[in-house]
Amino acid sequence: MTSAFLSVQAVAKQFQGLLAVDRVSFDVDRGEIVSIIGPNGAGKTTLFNLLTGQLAPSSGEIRLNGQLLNKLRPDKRAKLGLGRTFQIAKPLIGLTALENAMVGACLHHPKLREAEELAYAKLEEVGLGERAHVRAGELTLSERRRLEVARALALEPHLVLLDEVMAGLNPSEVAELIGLVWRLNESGLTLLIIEHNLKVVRTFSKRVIVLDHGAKIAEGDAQTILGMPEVIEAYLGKRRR
Amino acid sequence: MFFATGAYMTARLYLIWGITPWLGLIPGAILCGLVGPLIFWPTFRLKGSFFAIATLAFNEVGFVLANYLEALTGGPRGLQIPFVASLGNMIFAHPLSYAFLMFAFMAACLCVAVAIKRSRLGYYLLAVREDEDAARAAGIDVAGVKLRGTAISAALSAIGGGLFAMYVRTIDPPTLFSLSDIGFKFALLALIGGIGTIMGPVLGAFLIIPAESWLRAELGGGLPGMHLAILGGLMLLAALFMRRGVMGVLEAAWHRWHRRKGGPDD
Repeated sequence: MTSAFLSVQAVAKQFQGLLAVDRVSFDVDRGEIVSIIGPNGAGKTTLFNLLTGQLAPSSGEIRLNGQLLNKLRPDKRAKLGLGRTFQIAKPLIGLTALENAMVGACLHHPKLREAEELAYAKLEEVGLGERAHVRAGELTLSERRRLEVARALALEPHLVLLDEVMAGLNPSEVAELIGLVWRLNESGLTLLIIEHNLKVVRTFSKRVIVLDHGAKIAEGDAQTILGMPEVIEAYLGKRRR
Repeated sequence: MFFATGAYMTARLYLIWGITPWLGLIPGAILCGLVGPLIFWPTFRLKGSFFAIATLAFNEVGFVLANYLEALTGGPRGLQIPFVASLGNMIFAHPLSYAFLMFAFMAACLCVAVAIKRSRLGYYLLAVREDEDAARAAGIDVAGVKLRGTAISAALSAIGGGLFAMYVRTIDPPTLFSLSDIGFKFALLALIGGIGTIMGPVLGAFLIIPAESWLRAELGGGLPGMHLAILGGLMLLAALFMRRGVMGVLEAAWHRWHRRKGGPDD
């Protein structure tokens, strides 16, 4: 029995003929920022979906705080303190930014007034305070990503999974989000992040996990990992194609 | 289907035991509120048009059952409620009394709608409508929310059906399970008025029902059924170009006007 906050043990996911995630194991301790990198199709998002319960693992164990998550539905996992964003942002486009955050805030606050205060605070935290009454469908890409983060934060989670929140953003927007990740981490939040941008990974992650063809091929601190031949190969191989 | 169940229940209780419809409305509402979600449970996995088709299928099943279960529904001959005007019988000599009654019911429905909108369930229903995956990730028990939503809407439909039965006093399967007059009409009113708004369906009803009566009267002689074709066309246009209905259009106009008034700052 490990004491790790999030413990992933030999988790695999088989889609008919395709082994999308191949017996991946790793631990995340409380207060860490861990990044998952890997070329397109390496199984990063599938791994995320296994962690949050959108998909059920074919084998292996996922534990949060020692509790086995394997059979729990996504909403139950959210109640246990697992927040997430989606790679393709899924803001509730017909609702305003505040209402989006409210949907998350209601989880632990059945009283709407409290939920609204919390939702508003989370919007401020991600820098969307002034856009609270704008419909999510009218927000820019960067704002939608931050709105997803706000909705996840409104769940008052212990662990947040960010799926490529920086993708498609310009450098100043990326810098803004990096600052946000830092602040969240300092306030005690544990983060697991899927990221394509290696420069970004280097700035905030002490520990990096590399996936390729569904399997974990390396794990360690960012500097070492980014110098390892197998990691370079996985990335350059993709570029050559 | 819930509308019909409420209608039969109220009428039957009144005809057999003389139970006043004021109380007779309640068992139908409770029955639909409890059983409705259970029979709809299998359809919760369906989305969009597939869900819509499944609800239509339920309507047809209900139609067949109502014809078959003669002891309960009077079968194809239907049920006739004799005209005995009194407040207790919910049968009135003056049509205006019915108008007041229906108006009160509408007000009650609006109160329920406002209460839901101002509750956690309201936010959850919106979230589930927008994106089920995102809703789940936000800790929402999607099936549970759908169940509660169905229960409330089934119970209100049943009450509406009961009131309708006491108003027309002759109910039979073709009337109660009519798609163009009951099934689609519910959706049409909300669609035209504005889905997901409180006043949308009310607005839709005030626009569509008089328009329909007028069209039926104008065209009914020469081109029977033409009013349905026109309403169908309207529904299509609304679905294509007015996704948020008349309310959405009004809201957008209101925002534009406000922005202009507020100057460049706003």
